[in-house]
Amino acid sequence: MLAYVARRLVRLVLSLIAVSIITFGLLQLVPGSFSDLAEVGSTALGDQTSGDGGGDSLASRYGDQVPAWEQYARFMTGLVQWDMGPTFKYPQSSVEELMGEAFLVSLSLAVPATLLTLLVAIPIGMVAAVKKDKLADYGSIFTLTTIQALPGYLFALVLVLVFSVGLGWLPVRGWAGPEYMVIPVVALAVQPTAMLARYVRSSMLEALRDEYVVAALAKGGSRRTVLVRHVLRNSLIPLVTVVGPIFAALATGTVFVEVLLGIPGLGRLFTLAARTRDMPLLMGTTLFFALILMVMNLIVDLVYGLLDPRIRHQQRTSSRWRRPRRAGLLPASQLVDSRTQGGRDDGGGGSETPSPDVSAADGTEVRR
Amino acid sequence: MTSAHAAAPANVTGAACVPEPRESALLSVSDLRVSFTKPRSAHSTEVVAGLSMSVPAGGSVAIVGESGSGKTVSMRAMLGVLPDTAHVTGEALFEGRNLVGMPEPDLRRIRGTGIGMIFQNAMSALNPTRTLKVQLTEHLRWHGIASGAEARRRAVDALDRVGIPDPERRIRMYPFQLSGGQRQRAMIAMAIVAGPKLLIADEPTTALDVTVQRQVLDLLQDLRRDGLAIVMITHDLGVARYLCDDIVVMRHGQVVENASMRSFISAAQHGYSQHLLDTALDVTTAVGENDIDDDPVEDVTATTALAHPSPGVGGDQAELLVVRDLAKVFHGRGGDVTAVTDLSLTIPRGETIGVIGESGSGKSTLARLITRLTEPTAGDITFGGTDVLRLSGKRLKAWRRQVQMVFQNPYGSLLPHQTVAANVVEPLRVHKVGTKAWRRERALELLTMVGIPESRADQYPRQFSGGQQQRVAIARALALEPALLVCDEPTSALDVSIQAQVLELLQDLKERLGLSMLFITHNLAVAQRLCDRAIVMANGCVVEVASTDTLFTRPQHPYTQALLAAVLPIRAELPPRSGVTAALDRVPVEQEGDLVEITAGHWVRTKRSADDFAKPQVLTQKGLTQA
Repeated sequence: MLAYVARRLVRLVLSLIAVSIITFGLLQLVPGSFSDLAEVGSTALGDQTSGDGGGDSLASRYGDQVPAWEQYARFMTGLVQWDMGPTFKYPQSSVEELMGEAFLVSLSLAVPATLLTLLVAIPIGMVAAVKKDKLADYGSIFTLTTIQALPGYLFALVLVLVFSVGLGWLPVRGWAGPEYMVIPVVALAVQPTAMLARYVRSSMLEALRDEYVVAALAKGGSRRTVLVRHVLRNSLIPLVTVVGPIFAALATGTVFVEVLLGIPGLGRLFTLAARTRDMPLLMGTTLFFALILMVMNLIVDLVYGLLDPRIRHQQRTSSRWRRPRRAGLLPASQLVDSRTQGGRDDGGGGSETPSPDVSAADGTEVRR
Repeated sequence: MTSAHAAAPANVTGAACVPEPRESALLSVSDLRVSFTKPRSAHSTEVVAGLSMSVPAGGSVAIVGESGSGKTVSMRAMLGVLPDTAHVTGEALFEGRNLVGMPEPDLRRIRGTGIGMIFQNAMSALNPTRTLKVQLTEHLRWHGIASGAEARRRAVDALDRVGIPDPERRIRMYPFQLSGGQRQRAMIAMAIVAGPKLLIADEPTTALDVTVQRQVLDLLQDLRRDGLAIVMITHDLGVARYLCDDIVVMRHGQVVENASMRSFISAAQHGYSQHLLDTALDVTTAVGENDIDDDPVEDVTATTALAHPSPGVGGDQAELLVVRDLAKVFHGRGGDVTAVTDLSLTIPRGETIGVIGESGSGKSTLARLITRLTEPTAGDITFGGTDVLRLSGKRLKAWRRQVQMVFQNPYGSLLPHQTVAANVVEPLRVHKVGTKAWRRERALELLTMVGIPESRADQYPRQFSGGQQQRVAIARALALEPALLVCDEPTSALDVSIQAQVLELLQDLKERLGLSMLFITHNLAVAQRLCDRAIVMANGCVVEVASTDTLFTRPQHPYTQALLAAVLPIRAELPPRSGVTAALDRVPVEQEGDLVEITAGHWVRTKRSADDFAKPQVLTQKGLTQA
């Protein structure tokens, strides 16, 4: 298990390095280096003269005289030490400070939005699956599909119109207290909810077709018990893979909603950085986005293992089941058993079974 | 009326009669009907049209029929575990109480404690993410039978009773951690832990290897002996005959015959029953007692193992395919897996060689190696004098024309979006043979040859039944007029009577076209029916090679003997169970050693010398004896 996590972390670091090289390379191609901006006296550069002479340090880091590889190396060293230096626009604050503040804001939206998504989507998906082909199913799926097709910022606008402008219950925009969170959280949650509910529905329907449902009913379980103890649990496992990216997407900020509602989150910071060609800030935010996404994926895989014993088993042993070279040394029962199990790696050869369903289906040959 | 109980078989008159529901019956079903309504339509389809049967306490009844005959649906309807779209009428008295229309809580209690159910595939019938403990104890708690430590103790007892070794440890395991046979046993334990009086077994052994099947059936028989009544849903008459006293034959949702097993086997009344009996393949293993003395034991031309044994050489016939010392090792991250090792065989022109083995024995890998779909790790393959392994590019493609394959799942091996005619000429198109018009002619000709009328040539595969699809697949394999046809379990996905038709077709084609075939199967009866010679494989190596006649009457390797002992005959006398158990226990011995030719053309893997086989063992009706 530790070896598995270690391997994944190594892969994560390598991916991050790849992302950083690509991002840096692309930014070099974009017109508007630090010296260009300084030459034309662009407003994209902040107050270079005030304070502790940030302008000098910026010029010495990103000026024309510094070769690109050195700029890159210096930034990456800073990244490792969590000291990425000043930004073009705000020479007085460092990249990590700006990102840290913005991330906290985004996080305080992402966590409630994700929870709201789960709380609403799972029951809707469940009902739709259980009432398949009935009004509740058609109604909810129709609504969800429609909602999914509409952009999230549209909901933000509608919510502002109704609750802020019309009813006056909530502030219109800004970021000054918990009441400012309500509209963005709801607006952010709408689309993921629609998507997740549809996933829940199809995942539940798939689990409902499994024979262990009939087996559990045949043991005398009530439909409700069977639904909760067997179907729901199993059908929610694959959803972890969807919830992870949803959370990552929300946590890295959603540009439209943040800009629209004036929320100083990561999304707004990123647009700002892009608009002003603030190279250090762009590098920082991009790498941070990549990091969050990769960490979420790692967490998803670990949680998947936690929930599904088959995956856990794979991760723990991280080697395939091995057939003995010659079965002559095994006791009778084991040989008979190993023969039936052998079907699993018979056709697969050297490849690993990618998903739990595949290994489940291959476990026995079905013959009629 | 017929006594439904085996204890009084003398009463059986041979007449098929419907046992009337009696007071003493544990379960008595009369006129059970099940229909399904499609969503958003008033139309409903009747799937079961009047099932009547009765199961005495401790009795056993087989429900036999082909797929879609309503066997499973009727039993599930009785227990009320069908989806809402099912409409059930009729009467099903269990201990005098009607299950049909019974309020859900009462019915649930009966489901949990009075009637247990087991399924074909234990892997899917057990929840993959729950431990055995959870799955074996939850319904004890639901029905207030036991909870906590007491429930766990009962579960351990049940696992022990079904023969799972070390139940204390295994109860903490997940289904995927058990072997196939153990999973099946665990599922049975789950069904019996609450102490039901009736067990509904839905094809519980169909997906298992023959030796494991035999062990599971023996377990069910033991449970019966302890007083558990069993309804066995199966399509396999051998299984039905082995376990059950009475039989109900279903077709298109209706009962066509309801009789005691004995009278059914000896004198089935209904034409369809007779048809089932006729098409079911029966392995004939035993030679009569008298034949033993006539055995040409003096024929033993004891030759010691050759440096490169090439078993399968039959007389002077030209050899089409010669395989020497073939091996395949798969390199995985967890280490190497040897799928095939030290394998030599010869296919003479015009002969059919069977490859018999259970799952994991390497028989499918062998097929892929011979067709060069997989590259071997070591060994030689010579096909009509050509070294196949050296071919590449155009020459390999040209060679492929001579070797064609037929697979187990016909639908999966046909292109679903092409008509069957297009499917059949696909190989001709690939190899750019003939004009379009000529290929069309050829397609119709081939389809006619396999018994598909020309009028259906432009239909799509899904419009055909499984057996017809397999015919199309065979026609496609024959399109290039191959010299060798490699069939990988071509009939095991088909119903029994369809299987017989496909085998007949292959037999016919073999004779008419002089085809050579490599026929891979786990089904001994199929091998006996079709093959001239057979190879028995276990764990990637050949353990015995002989003509099918010799193999089925004088098997020498313990593994072959175990396979044959596990076979369930339909008509012949059952060999005593003790002998079978002994044979199954001896399975793993003698995997080591060399192939030794003990009589002409009969090779056995053994450490002993050929002289030890001078008095070969013979499988008689009493089991294995020294001749």
